[in-house]
Amino acid sequence: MTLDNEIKSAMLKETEKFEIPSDIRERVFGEIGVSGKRRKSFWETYNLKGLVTSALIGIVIGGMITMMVFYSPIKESLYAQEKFPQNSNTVNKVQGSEYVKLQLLSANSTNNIEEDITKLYPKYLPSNMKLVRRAKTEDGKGIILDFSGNPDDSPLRYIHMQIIPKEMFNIESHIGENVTLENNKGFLETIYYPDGKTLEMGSISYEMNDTIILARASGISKDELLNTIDSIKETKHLLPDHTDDSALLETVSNKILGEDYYTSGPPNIDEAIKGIEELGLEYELVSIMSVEHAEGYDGTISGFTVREGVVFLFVTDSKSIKLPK
Amino acid sequence: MAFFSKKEDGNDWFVDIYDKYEYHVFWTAYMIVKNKDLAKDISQEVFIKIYNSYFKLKNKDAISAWIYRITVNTSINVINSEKKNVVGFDVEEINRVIEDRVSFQPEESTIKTETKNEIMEIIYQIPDIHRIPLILYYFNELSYKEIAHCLHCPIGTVKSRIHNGKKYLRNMLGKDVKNDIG
Repeated sequence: MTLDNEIKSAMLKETEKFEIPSDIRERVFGEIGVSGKRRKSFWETYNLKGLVTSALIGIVIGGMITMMVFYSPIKESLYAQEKFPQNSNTVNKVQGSEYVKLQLLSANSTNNIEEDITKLYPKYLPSNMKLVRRAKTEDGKGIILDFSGNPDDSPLRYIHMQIIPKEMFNIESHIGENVTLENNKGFLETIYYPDGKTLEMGSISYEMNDTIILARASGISKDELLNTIDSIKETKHLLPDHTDDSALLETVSNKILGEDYYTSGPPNIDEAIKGIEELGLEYELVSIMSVEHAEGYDGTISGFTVREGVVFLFVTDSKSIKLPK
Repeated sequence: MAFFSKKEDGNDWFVDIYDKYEYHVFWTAYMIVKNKDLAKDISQEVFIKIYNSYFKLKNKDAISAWIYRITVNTSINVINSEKKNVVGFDVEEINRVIEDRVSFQPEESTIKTETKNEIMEIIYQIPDIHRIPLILYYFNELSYKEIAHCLHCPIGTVKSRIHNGKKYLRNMLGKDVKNDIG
């Protein structure tokens, strides 16, 4: 039996230790004040379910046809434009769900990025990309740099870069990502670019001296990523002390959304803006991007990033903004 | 209209959710806190949060990950308040502990583990930051993407945490790592 199966089996076996206490159900339904039993519905009682369902489907289809005929998506586009006056270059076509990125200009900037990050900041970055986040790696020995930016109508573009001491790089943690050793100097390349040009969750690892640069990217070309890494390779002083944005990030997110945001789902734009204004922050809408490209965060808040007092807030809002396809 | 009242007559949705997720919510909480009474409290709190927040959830397709996310976060909050374990995510300390344990040689160990109960005992020793992804992956059968969503961290982090958790487990079980990397 493989270890995977052994773990699964052990966890299932664990659930046989005792029965789930029945009073949980009583406590839950008692607390919310309803019966814990499934009510036999009116439909089931009179066996009308099929008939009513058919009628409802007919109404829905009729409604959809009416909407298609009379409701122009331009109205929604105009709503978005009116609500968030902006440079048209920063608004991208979206598919399905939407992401709205608000750039918040903080009045209380506490970090001076130039002082501690200059040596690491690449001289070259793909157009419209900016540094949007920096943080320490989990072990505290490396640096994480996130770059993002969406010109034109491209999908979400980002570079996630980790600069870590060589001894912290564990090739086994990248198993499953098609890692291949390119040469004896330890140049690793794990790139997926389905169309042969644009990276999709591609990653590249560079070894130089005692340092590894691990870069993942999406929405840019392989050359752009290589040039970015090349430009950072020129620096001689890697891993300096730097400011970690995590604490500020957490403070801002908690203030805007509340600590229990995960239980209530993402806020809509109006709520988010209200929270931002209560914090006394200036903001502007800088881009809209498809949530489908936000790996792992479909339909929810993707996170917050802070640099030089600039907060990038990702919010889903299916209510107020639906751009035409 | 009382016929469609959420509180009075329209709670079948919640009964369905409760029946479907009670098992996983309770046992996920239990495997995180390893305490029956706390798992009960957590389960109760989780389902009340679900009841109060379900209609605010816009992406109903992601309900599983959402429920497990509430479960994990509630469990961590409860543990923190009980101060029974290190879940404050002092990552440096946790990684140091993991590295110490991973480098531990099973040949020198007096622990001989073959039974599933013993495997679980080892799993319970793994720090929460690595154990929780293991639980979500193996017990709740979430994908890496769903776990990343659930724990609000990158997929790469999820993979490395699961890998490190398994590595620790392998060492403690004295298994050949090369033959069982997945």
